[in-house]
Amino acid sequence: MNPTPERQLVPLQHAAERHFFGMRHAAVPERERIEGFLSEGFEVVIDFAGAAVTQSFVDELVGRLILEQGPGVLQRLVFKNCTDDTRAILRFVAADRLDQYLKNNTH
Amino acid sequence: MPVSPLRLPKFLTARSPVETLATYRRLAEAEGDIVELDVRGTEFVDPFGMTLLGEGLLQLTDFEQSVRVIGLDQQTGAYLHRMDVFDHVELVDSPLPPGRRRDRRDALSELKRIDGEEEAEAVASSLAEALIGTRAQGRPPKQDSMHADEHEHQMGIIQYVLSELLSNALSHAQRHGFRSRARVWTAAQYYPSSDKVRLAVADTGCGLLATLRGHPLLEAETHFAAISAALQPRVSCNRNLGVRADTVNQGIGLTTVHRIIDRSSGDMLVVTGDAYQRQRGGGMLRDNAAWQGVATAVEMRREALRSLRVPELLPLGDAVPPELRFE
Repeated sequence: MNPTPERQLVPLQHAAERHFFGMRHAAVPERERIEGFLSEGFEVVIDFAGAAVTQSFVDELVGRLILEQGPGVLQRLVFKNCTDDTRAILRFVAADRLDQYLKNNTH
Repeated sequence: MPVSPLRLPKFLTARSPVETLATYRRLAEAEGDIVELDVRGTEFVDPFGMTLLGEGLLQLTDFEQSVRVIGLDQQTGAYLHRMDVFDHVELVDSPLPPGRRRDRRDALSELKRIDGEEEAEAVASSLAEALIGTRAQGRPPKQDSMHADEHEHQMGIIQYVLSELLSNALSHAQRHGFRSRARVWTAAQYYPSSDKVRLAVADTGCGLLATLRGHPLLEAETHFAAISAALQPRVSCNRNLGVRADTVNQGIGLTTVHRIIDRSSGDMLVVTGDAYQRQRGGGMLRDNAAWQGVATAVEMRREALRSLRVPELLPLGDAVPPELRFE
């Protein structure tokens, strides 16, 4: 039986202050932290508590991971404390980038 | 022979883009060490007009020209001064309006020049707060963190629109050699009598045609075709990962903003090069009215924002959402 991978928590910065994450660039340092933990073999829990997000921010945070690493990366990501809107945006970005990845990598 | 003062027209607004852009062009190309600007005949300047005025005036500064404003102490002149339109230019012989500026943070928001993405995020937040108004006294936020109350919801929509437009202006505008010279402006205002929110984002970057040149959905090598292409879902110059360590762009932002505007009974104007488009029609600008970069003006009914949910307006297409792990 395979051991459960350890988890690392990535709370979005300033989330406790009800921050709005609109611009792409705000996602870059968070995504780089996620990439670092993934490369070390961890599962990553992204905590969206108190955060409102745009599609651009989520695309830079998660969509780019799917483009670079493929759909398997989603098995190692957990999205925590998401509002209904955030869940819908995550699903949209994941669907779009997965579709693009498959088209780019299918012969 | 002395040069006649440049008279601003009656209206400098997104509803009169041809005249507004022609005025910007005349201002930016005005000659003389001191440019005289007569604002006494101007009745209404909206955020779109303000962003273009701001850029036109700053271009005078680039050539070390000063400005004398005739009528600065009268109604429209005083309004423009209050909105910081003249902050970026040296004023001479222009009596300032009497009295202190009133703090109208609940309706007005000054012209802002944006120098980076961090500043853009903060500006989008402050503009949204100004347009929606501060939370009513004594009303605590809902305890349920999973649902925003109405105030935050409306602010969120405004911030969403501004973030997407500013993000486009800051990223695409700085391509093709424009990194060091592109400028980004924004302004916004709420008009209580009509319950309308108007905001504008204007950049002096490479423009949509340069950004999308070679894209398969660009039907013609024209600025008008570039706007049409940009408004379609998933049209972006950098949708795929490239050799450069660049951010990728889904090409969804402008499309979603367009849908938000449509659903809120609003209007959206996009100007680039010698062309413009709006929700209902478009056209070509005169030779003396072209805009280097992209200028976008948005108008929405504030009340209509209550019923909007941005996720419902994202262009889903045929892609099937994968299973995601939520906790």
